[in-house]
Amino acid sequence: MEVKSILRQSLPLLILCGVGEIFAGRVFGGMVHFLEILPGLIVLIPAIMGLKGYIDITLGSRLGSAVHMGLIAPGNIWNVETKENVFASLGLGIIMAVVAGILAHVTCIILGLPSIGIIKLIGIALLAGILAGVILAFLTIGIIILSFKRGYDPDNITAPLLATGGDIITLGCIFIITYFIIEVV
Amino acid sequence: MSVYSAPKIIKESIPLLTLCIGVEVLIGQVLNTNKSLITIPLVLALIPVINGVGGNIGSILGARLASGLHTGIIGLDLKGVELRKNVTSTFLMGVITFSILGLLIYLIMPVIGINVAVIGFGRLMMIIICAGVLLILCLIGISVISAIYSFKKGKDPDNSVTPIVTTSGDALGIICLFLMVGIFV
Repeated sequence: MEVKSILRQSLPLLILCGVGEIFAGRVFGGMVHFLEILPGLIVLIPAIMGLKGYIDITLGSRLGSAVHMGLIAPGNIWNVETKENVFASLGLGIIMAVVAGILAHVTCIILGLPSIGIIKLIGIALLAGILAGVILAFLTIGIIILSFKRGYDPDNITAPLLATGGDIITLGCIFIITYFIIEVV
Repeated sequence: MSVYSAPKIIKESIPLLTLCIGVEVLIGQVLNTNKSLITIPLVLALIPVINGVGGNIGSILGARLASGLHTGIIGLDLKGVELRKNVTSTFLMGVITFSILGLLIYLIMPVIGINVAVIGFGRLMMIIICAGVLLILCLIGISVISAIYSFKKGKDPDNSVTPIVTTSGDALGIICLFLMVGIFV
């Protein structure tokens, strides 16, 4: 493939994703105040965002393969195969959020940096992770349904859509949960 | 009996995810120990853009290398036109995308409420382009090495290159960004 045609095919989607990331950046930039009053929160943010990437993009990729294998068909999307995949992603999200909270607290202690405590860190990771995980699972299934209707290959669209949409949704969920924790707890 | 099983997916995913979470937490600590930078909303807002777009560009190269290795168009000896074309187009993709995004950040951020005047147009463009290009150069190296290494080991590069490139993109993206902010601000 020629350099020119690789560029022509990739650039529009890359720039579109970049604009999506500008909006994700807007949410992150709005969290300066939260980061000041909740020491240790910043450590969690790359971990929660990374988690979303691995867990939900792999969900999209497995569901894409399931479509190709004929395990998921239009009209019967919410079947046992979809359920097992979605429950696996939600379960992984819960387990990994706890791991992220523990690691964030432990590394703060090792480095002698302040932390809001292991319970609050696990709590924020769990609540933000579950909320983002549920929204993204619905979004993934929505993308699969849409690709059936339009005749697209879901493998070509789930990864970029979930990566960029996931960043905005995950940062939004962290924002909402942190706001809730500051105001209520 | 379903083809997919949630406990099986969870069990298979935990080792790699735990490793990735460990790396993401360390990235969080890099942010945590640069307190003076993360109090500037614009610097926070640039992080998802650099990391997200860098990860996307690296993943595109990874997927293309994997397909090239599978079909035999790309050999394992690092020579040959096809590899050079892929590396050249990835580099150009980085330069063009980050230049356009620098301009878009300057235009969009003030509209959605992030102050760009603290850094100014010239320095903002220098930071985005230099950090982006440095990141892309690192990711090209990581992508090529990990794709060829996993192919030599008899593993499918499709499964390994994307997580490796996106995780290192998150870590190196923040380091490149902070380096350039340190130089230009």
